[in-house]
Amino acid sequence: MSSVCKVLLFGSLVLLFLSPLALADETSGGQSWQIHGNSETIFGWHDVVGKSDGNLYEGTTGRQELSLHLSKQLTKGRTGLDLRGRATNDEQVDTSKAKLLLIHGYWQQDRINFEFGDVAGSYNPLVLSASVKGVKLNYRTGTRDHGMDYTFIGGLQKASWEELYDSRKDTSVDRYIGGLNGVWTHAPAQSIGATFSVIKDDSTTTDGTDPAKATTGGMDWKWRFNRYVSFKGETAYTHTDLNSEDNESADNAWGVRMRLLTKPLPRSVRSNFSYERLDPDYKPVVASASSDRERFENDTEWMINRQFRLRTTLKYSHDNLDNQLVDTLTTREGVLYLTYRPDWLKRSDLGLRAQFKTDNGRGSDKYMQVDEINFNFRPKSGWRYGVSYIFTNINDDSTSGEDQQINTLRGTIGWKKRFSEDRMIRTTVQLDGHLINRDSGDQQSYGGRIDFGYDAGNLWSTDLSAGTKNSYNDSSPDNTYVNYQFRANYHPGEDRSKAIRLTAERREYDSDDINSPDYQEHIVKLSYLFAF
Amino acid sequence: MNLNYVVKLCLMLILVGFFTATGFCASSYDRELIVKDKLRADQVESVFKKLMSAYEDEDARGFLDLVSDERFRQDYMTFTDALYSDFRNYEIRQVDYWIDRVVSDHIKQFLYVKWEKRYEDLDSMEQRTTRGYSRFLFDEIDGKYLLVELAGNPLFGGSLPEWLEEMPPIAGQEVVQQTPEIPIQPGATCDGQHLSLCDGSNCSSNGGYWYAGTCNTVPAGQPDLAITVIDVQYTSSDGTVYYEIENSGTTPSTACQVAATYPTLSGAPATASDSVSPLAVGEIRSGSLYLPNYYYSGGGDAAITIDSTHVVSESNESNNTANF
Repeated sequence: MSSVCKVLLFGSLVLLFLSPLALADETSGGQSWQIHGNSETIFGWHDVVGKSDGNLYEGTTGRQELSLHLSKQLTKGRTGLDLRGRATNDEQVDTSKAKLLLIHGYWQQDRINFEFGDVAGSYNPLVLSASVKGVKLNYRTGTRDHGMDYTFIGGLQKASWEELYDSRKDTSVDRYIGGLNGVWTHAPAQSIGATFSVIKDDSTTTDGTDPAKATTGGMDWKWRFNRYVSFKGETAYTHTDLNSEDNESADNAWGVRMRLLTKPLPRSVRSNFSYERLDPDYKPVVASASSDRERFENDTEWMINRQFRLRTTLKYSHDNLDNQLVDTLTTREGVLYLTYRPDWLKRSDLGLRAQFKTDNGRGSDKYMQVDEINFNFRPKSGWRYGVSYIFTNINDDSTSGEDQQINTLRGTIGWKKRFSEDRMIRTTVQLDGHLINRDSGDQQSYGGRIDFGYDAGNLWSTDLSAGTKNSYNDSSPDNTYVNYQFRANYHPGEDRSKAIRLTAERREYDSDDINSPDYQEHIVKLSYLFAF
Repeated sequence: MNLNYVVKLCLMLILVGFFTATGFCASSYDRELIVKDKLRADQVESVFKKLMSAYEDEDARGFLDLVSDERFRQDYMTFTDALYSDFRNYEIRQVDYWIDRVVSDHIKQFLYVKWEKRYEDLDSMEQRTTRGYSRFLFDEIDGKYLLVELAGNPLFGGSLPEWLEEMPPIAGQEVVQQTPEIPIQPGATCDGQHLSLCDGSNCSSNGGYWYAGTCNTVPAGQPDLAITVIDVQYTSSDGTVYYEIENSGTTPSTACQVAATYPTLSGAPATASDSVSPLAVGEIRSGSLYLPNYYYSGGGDAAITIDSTHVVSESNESNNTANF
């Protein structure tokens, strides 16, 4: 469909929306239109010294972002329009000079909601989770805790409005999406829903990609039986053709996810069991699903007492559900977390994490073990202490893998002092080190970061930080990265809805590799923000 | 100045001006509902900024405090595994991001963001830059917005292949470039061998493709899978072919199939296949395929094909098959 047709189609839908809006105005009881929004103006300067491969942006840039929210209270609802736009010459942000980012119009009454523009539907995740440029109509019966809710959503999936109004910028496929969702709520935490979606790509716009077509329907439910047991999940059936122009027929496939939530001892133990099975051909295009997988999981948490909490998660998954592959990839994983908040040292916590993971099959045999211990203490004096150690052991028997042991140690000391209600000074020092032993060569790296900040009430605040990281490697050249940053905020008239911000940063990269030149970056940004 | 740019800017200004004028025609209204909605979008942006801050600090615990394990719409365990995998494999230097828009589905909010991540790959010790466009779904739980779904380019957890399979694609998914620092010889100039030195004016004349501010060797936004046979081993009743796959395109591939067609003892050709998880840009992966009843008759009469079911759209489809 050409851009003109798309704009006309969208315009017609908008007119369809504006007609009831005009009528609604007559009954709005004298309420009038209001507008609010915010604006951000940014000027930036970016300079790179010692690097000329074009991988980093340079130059002076400007950016203006504006959000507007127009609204009007109706007798039994409201109506309005949200807009967001951006103009910039910064190609790192956008290659377009000016772009409309958001249009969202709405007309809401007691039982009916109508939306147009950027509308979204996040229903059964196996069926439809997407936002489109189009329309959405919602009708509700009963009360919030008991009744029916019907929604229709339809439109074109595009990354930006620019692709609709400027055919030269339209590089993506025209994907038309339609969806229907109905939810019956019996009581709070007891509902059953049905979702149906249709997806069709315009084959004339695919630009080398395969045009897809899919029809998917499914049910989802959430049912709390009592304080001990709840059951939730979703299932779906799809008829998908990932290339509607070839001679191969479409695939039919099932997907199911279920969770049994139990609380055998409601205040101290909860245990959740999950099961997921998605057929190898389950590819419904606009849903969250990883096909060809069967998964079993358990997540159990036990509040042993006020001081101790234990949590275990276990997972078993495998693919090759239709035995069409020569081998099956199987994953087993378990994680144990133990948290200790001692009564004798208030405001502190000690955490332990132990994880194992094995992958077997198809030449990907791998075993991984991770052990972590961390301790945090935040006394009332304003000091903050933290230390953590992680040991990772990986035995990788795959063709391209290698065994390695990784040791990571990190320590943090911070201090925060509040002088008055709205004046505060803070500083943090963080140190970390990594030691990696592996077959191809060891690697050590050490780094640190210091941060200093001051908040002067509603008028201004500032922050200065510096960080470094030094890597020493057996099998590759050593390198050093250093970063300095200064940030300042000023709120004219102590009004926090307005702000002038200045950021200045220097980044240095030094390497012993003669083929990888050292370079320095300088970045300065000045911005003005205000809300109205 | 470009005429189109002026026209577009004028149109936007007229539109904005029209609605501004309409809005200021009145003085009385009830802010409550509007403020509530404004707060939702603001809350989501604020939570996203906290997520980014925790990710840059490699603070897994702080990050996961902003993710709902109960309402997460993908596999939460795989996601946590992917997050820890990022912190284990990468040294995150800097993430720049620009929020495009927040689209609401009643209480739930979709946040779209463009980003650029600079990090050091601790395996190869290479400096990398990855760019992408992602969508995040947030849901309100006990008055707080928490992350419940991720889609598009993998800003978080991209180092774990299992997690890449969980990420649904979105419209406008950006070209992803994982660009290792390329050694530049002194005195080198823009030519077919040094496209990275070219600019917009001379990129295409040297056989490159200009986008995202750099001159690239392949067109925007497509993977390019190529397969080579490393070795073939066989007995009197079966065989195994060892192969290597490389993604030399500019975006990660999706999951696909590798299949071999080969002669058997009975004379009828047979097929063996296997699934291949997504390959990151520049990734080279080795594998093997078992060939039951394989009959070796001197070689050259069998073929192995990557993406045998044509689910991956590539910039070059001609290098998907190798004979052995």
